[in-house]
Amino acid sequence: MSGKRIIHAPRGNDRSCKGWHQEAAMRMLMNNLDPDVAEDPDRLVVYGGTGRAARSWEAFDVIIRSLRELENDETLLVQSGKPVGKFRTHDEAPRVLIANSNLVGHWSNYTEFNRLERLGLTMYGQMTAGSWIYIGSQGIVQGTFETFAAAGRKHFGGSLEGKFVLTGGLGGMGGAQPLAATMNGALFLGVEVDPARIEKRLKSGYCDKIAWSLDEALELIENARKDRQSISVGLVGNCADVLPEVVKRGVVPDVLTDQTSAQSL
Amino acid sequence: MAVHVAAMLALQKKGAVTFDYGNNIRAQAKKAGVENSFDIPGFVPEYIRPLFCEGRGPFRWVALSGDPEDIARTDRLALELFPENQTLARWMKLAKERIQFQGLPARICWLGYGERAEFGVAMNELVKRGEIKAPIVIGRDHLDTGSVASPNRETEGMLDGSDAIADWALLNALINTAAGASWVSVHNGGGVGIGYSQHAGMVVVADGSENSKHRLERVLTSDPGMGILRHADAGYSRAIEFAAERKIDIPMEPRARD
Repeated sequence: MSGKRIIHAPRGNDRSCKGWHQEAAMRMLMNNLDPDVAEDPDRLVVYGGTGRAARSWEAFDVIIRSLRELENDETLLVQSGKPVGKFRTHDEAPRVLIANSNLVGHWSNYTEFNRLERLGLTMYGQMTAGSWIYIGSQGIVQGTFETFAAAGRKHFGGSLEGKFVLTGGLGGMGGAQPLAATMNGALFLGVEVDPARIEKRLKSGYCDKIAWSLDEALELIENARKDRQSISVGLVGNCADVLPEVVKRGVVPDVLTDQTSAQSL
Repeated sequence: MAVHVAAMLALQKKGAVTFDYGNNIRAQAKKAGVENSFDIPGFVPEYIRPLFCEGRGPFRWVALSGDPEDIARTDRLALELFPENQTLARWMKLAKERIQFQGLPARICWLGYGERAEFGVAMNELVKRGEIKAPIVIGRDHLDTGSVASPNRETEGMLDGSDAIADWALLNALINTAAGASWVSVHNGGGVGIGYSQHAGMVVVADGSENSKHRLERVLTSDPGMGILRHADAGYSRAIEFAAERKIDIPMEPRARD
């Protein structure tokens, strides 16, 4: 496949498939590869490193064609991103059945998986990449929001309003924390080594302020507390330096966690 | 890393509510000599599992029209149907202000057993009446109540020690297939890597037809219902009570272990 392909799902009420279940599968597969949604659409990667929506561009094209031809009483079978067959089923059966990245137990490891992937026999489907229902970063924000909300219910009689949340890591998954915290009314301080990651969150509106010292960060938090406002502050620093300093000063956060990405640990 | 976790433990001792957020920091710190790093609880057993016991999990839907107005209509529907759910109300209000759509407009919120089927069928009705311009696609993450076995995350520290039992995820895919989801998938390795998890996806479409209504009623009941069964079987009393309240049929009486 030469040249970039830009995929956008069709919108609206006209379909090119014979039923809405097939049409929906087609549009959601395409939506997973929309440049606004996918991490690396050229390589069919949707999210999570190498989580793919289809095995190859050739397989992608045949899936789309198969879905357009699929009758309302047929089911298409997809084996790790490659369409492998279809059978007559019935009109309330699934239109597509998918199996991704499965290996027999004893061989279910990266050595074997990587070997098979290199041979073109499988792909990594992650979770919603290979099952064609990824919708972008809203899911991470919402999951983090629910976790913080549950912490508020369990420990603080209902909500995190006015509570001080201290955490580390504002990269990939962790980048949702400041927004999820302020949505719960909290005062948020996230320690992150890489200022570029904080800048990125400021730009997207997920984080309110950047601070370059613990003094500056704690002052922002204190001011917000006095004004009865929620706030999120990204502090440029290393948890291994900042947290012992927090302990030394006798500051005790209400909630403490960490989402420093595993590869940076 | 060891210094970081030691400081977390010190703050925990002083009263900070402290939890691990799935990045394996406890195991790494333990390797580096912090013997008691697992005094910090994981976020799933601490906060998410009680939600799982009621079939609650990340529920999402997408407007095939591409029109954000259709999602705004479904946002209102959720608030109409579940006015007593304060977390949902807060999320819906703020998500509308703060979350930008990527690709087709979509919404996520956490709904439980009973709520998902009610909401799905109600969305189907809105499509039928033309209040929503094109069909709605309904699905979920695999980080969910009854569709995943992942001993380092979603099924960490199950009461009965069944963390690595993958049968539940497979049964989830099978029952959703029988119930008529629009598409169903069975995966290995999502989230935590090959060999470390088994999980299943499901998506069901609301196109306003009777056919869709049947599918939605069945699938949006069996899918979160698997989570109630799985947690009741593992001995979570909240799941056992919930199954009794909602008359979810469990052939062998589960035994509470908590």
